[in-house]
Amino acid sequence: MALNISRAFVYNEGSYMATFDPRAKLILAIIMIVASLTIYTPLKAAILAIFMILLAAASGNLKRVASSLLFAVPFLIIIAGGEMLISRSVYASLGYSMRFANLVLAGSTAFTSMSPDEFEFVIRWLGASGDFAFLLSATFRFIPLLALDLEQIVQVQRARGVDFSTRNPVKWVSGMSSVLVPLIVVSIIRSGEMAEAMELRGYGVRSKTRPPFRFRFGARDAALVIGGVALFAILLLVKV
Amino acid sequence: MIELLDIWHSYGNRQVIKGISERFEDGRVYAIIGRNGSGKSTLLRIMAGLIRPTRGVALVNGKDIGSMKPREAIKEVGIVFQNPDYQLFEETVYREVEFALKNLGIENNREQMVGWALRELGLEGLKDRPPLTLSGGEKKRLTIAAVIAWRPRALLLDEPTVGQDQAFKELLMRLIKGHAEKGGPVIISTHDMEFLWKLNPNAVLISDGVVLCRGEFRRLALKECFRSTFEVLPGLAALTRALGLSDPLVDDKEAVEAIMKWR
Repeated sequence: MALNISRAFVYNEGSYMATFDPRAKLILAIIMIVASLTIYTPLKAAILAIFMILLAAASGNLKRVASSLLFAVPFLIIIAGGEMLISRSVYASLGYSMRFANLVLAGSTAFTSMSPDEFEFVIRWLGASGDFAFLLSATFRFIPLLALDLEQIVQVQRARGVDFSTRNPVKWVSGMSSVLVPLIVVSIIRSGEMAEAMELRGYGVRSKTRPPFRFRFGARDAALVIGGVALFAILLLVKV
Repeated sequence: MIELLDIWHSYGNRQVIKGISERFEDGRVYAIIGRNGSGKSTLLRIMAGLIRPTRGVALVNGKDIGSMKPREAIKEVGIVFQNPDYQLFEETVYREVEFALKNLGIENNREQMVGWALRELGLEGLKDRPPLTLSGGEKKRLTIAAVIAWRPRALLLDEPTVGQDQAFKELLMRLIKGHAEKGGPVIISTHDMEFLWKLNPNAVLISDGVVLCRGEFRRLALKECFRSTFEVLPGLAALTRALGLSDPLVDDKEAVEAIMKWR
């Protein structure tokens, strides 16, 4: 299975998850994110991770969601190593790194199953202003672009001899700075260009109205939300 | 020498390279041309060992670049990417050029090598400037300096002339020829047909992931495969055709003479 980081956070129109009501998908994403942040025992975190992986597999997003874990690996190592140094507890370091892995999985589940447009419609449906909804959906749209930039920058720096697989922490940090600085610079340039391009195309000149989105919340949407809530409740209440 | 043996590559379900086999000899300049999305950049990345093809092998001096250690591969093949902003991060121009030399563990002559690369690209006066404050053209020159500094045998350039002025193109042309004379192949991927007409490299035209035709650029530009791919010809190619000449016109002087004769 070829994993591709740049696809890890990109909406998959053809997946089964994409067919659900956007509100159900957003609620599920919020539940998964909150669960990822609150559940820290390794076993419970593993159950949550398995649930999200099974959900991704059932909906045809397994490759993308698995790719997000590839992206998380260096950070997982830092978190686990840092926690080991501070608490000297394998249990705690495993718990914290699992928590981060789950957060990444939850993010990938959300981004691969919901389009930026759907996200904007749900935010508007919740009563947010058009500007605010657009701001959030623009951020949503930026994530895959950022992932694509990240992949390109990693290739560029690899071609200049940066070894991202090194075990030497000094070299690793130096390698990461060669990625993070261009990533931030490219993001700032892109956001500035995007803002200018929007203004030049008349953004803000007229009131922002969009055609209403027809939501369809059916039984399977309810089942998805109930399943997510039930899992979260069980993980919170059951002592393992 | 770089040799591609039956290279196939796909992104998801999209097949971008479909069985390309090519040989790029030492000491020669090549151009990979084709329309947007034809697979040019992917092919360059495969040759640099940054992407493993789904099928086939890219050999550099007889060794599979995919199985080489990164440090070994980089010494053999240097690649300059299109967007300078993806690369620059150091505090000064000098340190940006020095960065790869440090990664490659080059201690002896490091200063001279950086100095040489900066001189080659006309950047010696900017060596203490932060790279991010340079102009677009200067950034581009810096990315090239940062790669040629360790003198990789083969040099790959992805769209090196985008947004660049004529003076830079002249400098680049000299640099390309100089590098080819001293070492391995120089391979350019570009849409800049006027630049290629002047440089006249060995061109490989790819379309939809396969090689459509190949040959010396000026002669290739007069062929049907070129016309059917690009629709618009380089100026002197169009003039050569219009005047019904069998040999391509090399420069403006020849063009004027040919027109005068035709009249």
